[in-house]
Amino acid sequence: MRDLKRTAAARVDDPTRWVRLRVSMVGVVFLGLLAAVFARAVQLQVRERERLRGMAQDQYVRDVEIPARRGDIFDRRGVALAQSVDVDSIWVDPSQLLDVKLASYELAKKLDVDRAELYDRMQRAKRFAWVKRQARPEDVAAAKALGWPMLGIMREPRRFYPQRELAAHVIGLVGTDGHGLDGLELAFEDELSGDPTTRLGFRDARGRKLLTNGLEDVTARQGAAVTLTLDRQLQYVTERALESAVDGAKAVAGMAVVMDPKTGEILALANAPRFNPNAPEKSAPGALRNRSVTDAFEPGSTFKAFVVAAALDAHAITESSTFDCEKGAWAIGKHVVHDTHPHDVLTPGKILQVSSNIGAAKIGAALGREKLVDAFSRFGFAEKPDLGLPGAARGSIPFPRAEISLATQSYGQGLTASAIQLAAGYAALANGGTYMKPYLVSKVVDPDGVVLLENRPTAERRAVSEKAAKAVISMLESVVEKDGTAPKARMDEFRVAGKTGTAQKVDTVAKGYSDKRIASFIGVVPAENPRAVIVVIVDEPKTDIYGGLVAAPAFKEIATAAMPYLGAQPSRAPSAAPATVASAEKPAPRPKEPAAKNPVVAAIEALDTVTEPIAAGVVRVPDLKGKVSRQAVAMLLGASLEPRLDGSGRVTSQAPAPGSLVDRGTRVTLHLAGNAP
Amino acid sequence: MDLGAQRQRMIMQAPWGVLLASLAVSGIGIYNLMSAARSMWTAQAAYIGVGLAVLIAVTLVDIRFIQSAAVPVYLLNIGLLVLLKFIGTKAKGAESWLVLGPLRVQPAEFMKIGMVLMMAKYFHDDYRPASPSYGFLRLIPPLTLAVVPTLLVLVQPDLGTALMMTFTAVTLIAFARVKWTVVVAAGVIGLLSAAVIWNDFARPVPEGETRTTLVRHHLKKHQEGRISGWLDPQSDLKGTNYHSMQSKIAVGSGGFSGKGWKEGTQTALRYLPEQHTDFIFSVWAEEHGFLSCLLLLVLYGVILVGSLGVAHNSRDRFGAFVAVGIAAMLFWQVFENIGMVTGLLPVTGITLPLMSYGGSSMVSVMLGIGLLANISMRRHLF
Repeated sequence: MRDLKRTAAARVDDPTRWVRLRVSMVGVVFLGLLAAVFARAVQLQVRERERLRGMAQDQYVRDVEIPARRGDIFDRRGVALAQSVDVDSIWVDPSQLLDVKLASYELAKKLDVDRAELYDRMQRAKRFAWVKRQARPEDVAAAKALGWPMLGIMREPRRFYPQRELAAHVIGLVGTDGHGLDGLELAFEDELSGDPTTRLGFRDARGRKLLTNGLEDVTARQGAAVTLTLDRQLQYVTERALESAVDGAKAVAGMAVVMDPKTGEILALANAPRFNPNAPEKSAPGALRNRSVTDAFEPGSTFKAFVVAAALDAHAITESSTFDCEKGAWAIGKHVVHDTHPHDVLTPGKILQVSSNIGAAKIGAALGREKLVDAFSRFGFAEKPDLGLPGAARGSIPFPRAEISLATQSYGQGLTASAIQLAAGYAALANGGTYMKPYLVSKVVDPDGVVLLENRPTAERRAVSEKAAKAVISMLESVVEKDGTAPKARMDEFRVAGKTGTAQKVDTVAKGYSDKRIASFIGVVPAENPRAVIVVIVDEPKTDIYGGLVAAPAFKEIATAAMPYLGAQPSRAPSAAPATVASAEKPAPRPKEPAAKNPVVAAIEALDTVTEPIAAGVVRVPDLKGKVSRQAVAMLLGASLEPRLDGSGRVTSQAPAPGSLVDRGTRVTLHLAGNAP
Repeated sequence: MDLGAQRQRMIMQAPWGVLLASLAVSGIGIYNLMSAARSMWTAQAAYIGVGLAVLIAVTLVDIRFIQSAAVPVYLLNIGLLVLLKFIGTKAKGAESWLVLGPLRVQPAEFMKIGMVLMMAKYFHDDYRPASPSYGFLRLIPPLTLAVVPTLLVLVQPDLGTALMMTFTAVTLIAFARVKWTVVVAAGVIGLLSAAVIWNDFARPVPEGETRTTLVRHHLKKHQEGRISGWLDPQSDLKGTNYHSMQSKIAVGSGGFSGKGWKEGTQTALRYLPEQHTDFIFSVWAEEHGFLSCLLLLVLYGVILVGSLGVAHNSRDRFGAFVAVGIAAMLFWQVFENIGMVTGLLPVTGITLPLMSYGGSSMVSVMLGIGLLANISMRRHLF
């Protein structure tokens, strides 16, 4: 009560007025400072608004780069050989960790990554560090189980090869960052990778990318689809046949090429040893090399066919000319050319049949140096084949100044060529003397259906006259007869023209030829109307060294499977085996191989029934109405049909009609309308 | 005078401007939190409910009881702060939370009120009509009353709240009328500090010569960074000045009319870590623009003027001091927070009254407003 009395008394005197004055002063100061804050807001929101808005956009828009989904790679019938799938990657925001070292140890243990590397990454990064990219599902589960708020999971595309080893050398590899490292993945990096987009996403403070738009925009960013001339079935047969030939001969490596001589399309391109592109780190050193394309070697006797064709073309010889084969040894200066078996006088046809080096050397001499080298280059040798694959070998044909060089080059020594070049050269012989440009990539189509690249059969030049080519092919048919060097390549139903080769390998250390060999067989089948040129090369065989023994059986395996598959008409009725006895010179009795028991054929049939449930060669046209172009193309390729697009946007009509049964590879025309989203 | 009429008069005399503006800001706060933190607004609504209950409860208590309880309340708060040093729960690097079962309380938020009540009581009791001005010696007791809790808050460490308490205490002391020698001394100290900061941070140093510093080498690296970052806002935008720059970007990019509710990119993409608490103003500014910021500032202005009006009409010294103290507390908090968000002041952790998410902050502000209402309602009672 004493208090109250005092304040009551104080109410009217001076101190109260003083208090009121002070309150007003405080109010003025406070409102003044509030006005200062207000002025600051005006400055930021009105005067600096454009600059700050730009800065806001800079940090959340400009830096966002969404990698495009990498384009797929298909074989000629639309079977996917390389695809992109989304997998989880684990990242961490190290700034939110109290003890980075301890956390990195814990993560390394739980997620099976290198401890020191992870610690290093987390130390260097401020707010974002990868813990494990392309993690396995169990790693993702382990990361989630930790329950750390600073751990994040992000979807990243990963490359996946559904056919595993099949054509792995051709397709190549991509690295963890999604860029091509080898093969077509490297050669078509720009097309496959597509355009990363920078406009459609926001980036948040931790650098996470947030998509704001729908799926249609995602398709527009995808990489282009690459369609190859390879055929999965033939590729499979070829790889299996080559592998068994290489294994059977205890050889170090092998190469095989199947080519359509009329178009230049490469139907199969195989190498041994093989590797699994889904786990390339587990492969043996050297297994990743695409030898068929990158390796040039001395081809040997298979070259004799070109020499004979060129000599016939130049009228240096005729089919009935005769050459003295010197009983197996012919001295040229200090050097002596040998044949494996002594012969007397032979015609060009016989020279090819028995593979006489002396005979070939004499034909080469009759033709002359300039014309010989000229003919080789018309067949595509010493010229880099443009397949789109990296590291293609050019091969070399040094001008044969010395007599002995002219002689050796006439039987394929002293010059180098790759398996692809040999296939293309024989294809020219099989194609009536016209050299077709070999190609591997038939088409590159971007997601909107725009064709970025299309290869069509190209007649590059005339190598030799049609008459000369046909004559050589018919001479080569004798090679697989019982007096020839490769009776094992003879087929019951189809006429085969072929040539063996057993080349000496250069010893790079001792300078000179070693006792190592490259055994080869190149066959053209059916000889009267060639559908395929098949090259089989076995490097350093140990059991037998002759092409006729080591490579020819593999050729036959491939050809036996390929001919019905390619729809070739049998040359003759499968009569009761026409006296196919083993040749006298290499007396290995040829075991009878009934087609049904051939493991390769059985495997193909198994594949066929597994992957193509509809009657062989016939597919149902899918209903594509309303689909965006990219989806429609994917569906058609998946159904082994060839898309042809007209316009852009969504499919409005299609021909043939949905549901109709057509042959595989039939062209389906799509009419599209409306602007692409 | 019967009781009914008395109650009616009391209700009439409540500071309705302050109450309505506070409710409006709280409502805006919930609406804003729906965008900034998505799920936290329900909890915030509950805190507002608790706060309003506390506010009403406070108005029902006789002001004389509060006055006599000032000393125990002050001591209890000091005790809690000391206790915090031993059993406090750490969050964001500061021991600021006291966990009582399901409740997490920040004693510093209540210390502010306790300090205001205690200083008001001291100045009330120390009233000497013969010599109304305070000299150096007479300032020692009230300064001690302010310095002890401020230091306790500072060592948590909670620099933002400690600064706000310092400014509030200075306002109260100035309000209590000091001798001109004290004003001069304060001015000299202020000038000297400015000179030291200028010398240590801003003085142009010739090439190749090292800066002779007076205080700077005693500071810890992050403290030093705060000051140099504040003085040079364009430096180290990814480190020291990250918050300041992101906040300025958020406010500025909102522009005149804002980006729209839940459309703020800085907000949605979480460029500011404390956007639901300390940087809540940036969310409002980014999404609703300049005019809405003006509206918010006007509402705070109404609260401020209304609080000072309570002091103006107060019937005694204690009421006037409490009202001024609470007005100062609210004002310095708003000023410090918005100054920080707009890059005018260095970044220190401080909440924006009634807008920031948080129970302790909300309840302590409502408690203060309840005290204002109490003083206003009983101004004519004897």
